[in-house]
Amino acid sequence: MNEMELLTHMLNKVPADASPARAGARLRAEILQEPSPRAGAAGSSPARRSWPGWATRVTGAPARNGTRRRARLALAGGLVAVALTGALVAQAVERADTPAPSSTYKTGTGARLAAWTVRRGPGGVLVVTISELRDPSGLAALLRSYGVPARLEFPGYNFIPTTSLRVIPRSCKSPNMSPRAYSELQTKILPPRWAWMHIKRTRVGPHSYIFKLPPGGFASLESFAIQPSAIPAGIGLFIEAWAAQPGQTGTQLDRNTDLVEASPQCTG
Amino acid sequence: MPSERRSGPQDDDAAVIASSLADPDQFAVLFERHAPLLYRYVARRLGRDVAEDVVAETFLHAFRQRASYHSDCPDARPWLYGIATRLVGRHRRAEIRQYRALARTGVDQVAESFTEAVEARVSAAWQCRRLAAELAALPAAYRDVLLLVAWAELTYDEAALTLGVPVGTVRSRLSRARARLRKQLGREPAGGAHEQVSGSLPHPRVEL
Repeated sequence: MNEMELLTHMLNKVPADASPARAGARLRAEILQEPSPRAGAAGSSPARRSWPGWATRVTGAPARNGTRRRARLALAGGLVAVALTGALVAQAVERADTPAPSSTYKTGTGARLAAWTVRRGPGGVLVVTISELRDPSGLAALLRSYGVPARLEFPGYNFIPTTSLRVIPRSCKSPNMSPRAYSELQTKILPPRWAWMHIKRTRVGPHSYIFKLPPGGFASLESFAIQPSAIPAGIGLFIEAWAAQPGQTGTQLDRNTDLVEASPQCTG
Repeated sequence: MPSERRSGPQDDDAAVIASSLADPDQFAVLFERHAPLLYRYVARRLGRDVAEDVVAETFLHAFRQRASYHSDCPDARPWLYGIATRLVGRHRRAEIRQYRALARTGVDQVAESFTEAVEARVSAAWQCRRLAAELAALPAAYRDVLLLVAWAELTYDEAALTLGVPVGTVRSRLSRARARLRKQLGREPAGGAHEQVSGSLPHPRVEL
């Protein structure tokens, strides 16, 4: 048996029909967060694709550990529908008594628009909204003033498929922790949307819910939250946002956030 | 009422991704098509639990970046495995740890996690243990190429596309990786394997 046959022998110990059910549930939740053109036109709950076994199996699977995972399964595992009608929307949570710190720019017509804003949300989270890829260092400085060591990069439109996943900059180091600890800390620092945005949930079955978005509908989804109190000493964030195609803004932007070791070279 | 174009099994990946731009639900077709084998590949490298997260992240990245997919690539596997391989790179220590554990103890923790057996069975053959020891010792670039070809079953061209390197580089890395494995596997049990991993190895068992 040569080395390639031995490798195949090793691979064959892992069943080929194992289903990544949790991965399917996470993708499904992500897809449901994206507006469907058909849904917008219909003005009512869209007829979503009937998801096959890997999605429904999640509802019957025992939760492995942790409330986060259970919450994820509860949200994503069931039959989830997002109602878009204006009559059904619930209250917004992002209420700023004072104007939110922002970076503005002037358009060709003279109007001033906010490239990004940072507001205080419920539970002390910082709600960051990036609408235009401008002034990353200004946003990083503002986040630092809120106690979030952060490095921001807006790389722009520079992707080809095989190299589109960027890694953290050379001047930054990943924190030395187990993958599970990293993932759990990342979830605490970057709480999932349903943890800070008021999304009203109505149970319609054993594992089925209807989620109602706050005013603004999907436009509010360009925001994300950072919980400063969850950031331990020595940890910072590397946040990058980019447009997959020229001219994309707001909810069309892609974003990735990694934990890094806070240092003068990396997070300033 | 306008007719809807739904992706089907006859559509190539590029067509599915293109249709998912207008109808995000269509991206589920890509998941159904590639997630099981991608999961198997990642699970073999990192173990079952981490593989779930890596596969999830892979498809989330792919979904968010699908607008930038090159429509002239009908097979999305190089794209997906490229993302997955970069994510696997973040767990390099965990990967090497499980290879070393297999080499040291003979217990294949990855395989065990997929079985219902409660007790840990020392079932890995002697050669597998040596192979694991050498996998842990391989440079990451060699290991990525080797496992993309051996475990993900990508062609040289696809592996090159996946890693963003020329095909010649894939060939040379694969050749060197295989030569190192052959050299290691060809040694007598009392030889180099002991030097690669800490702890003593029992007498080899003939299982293959």
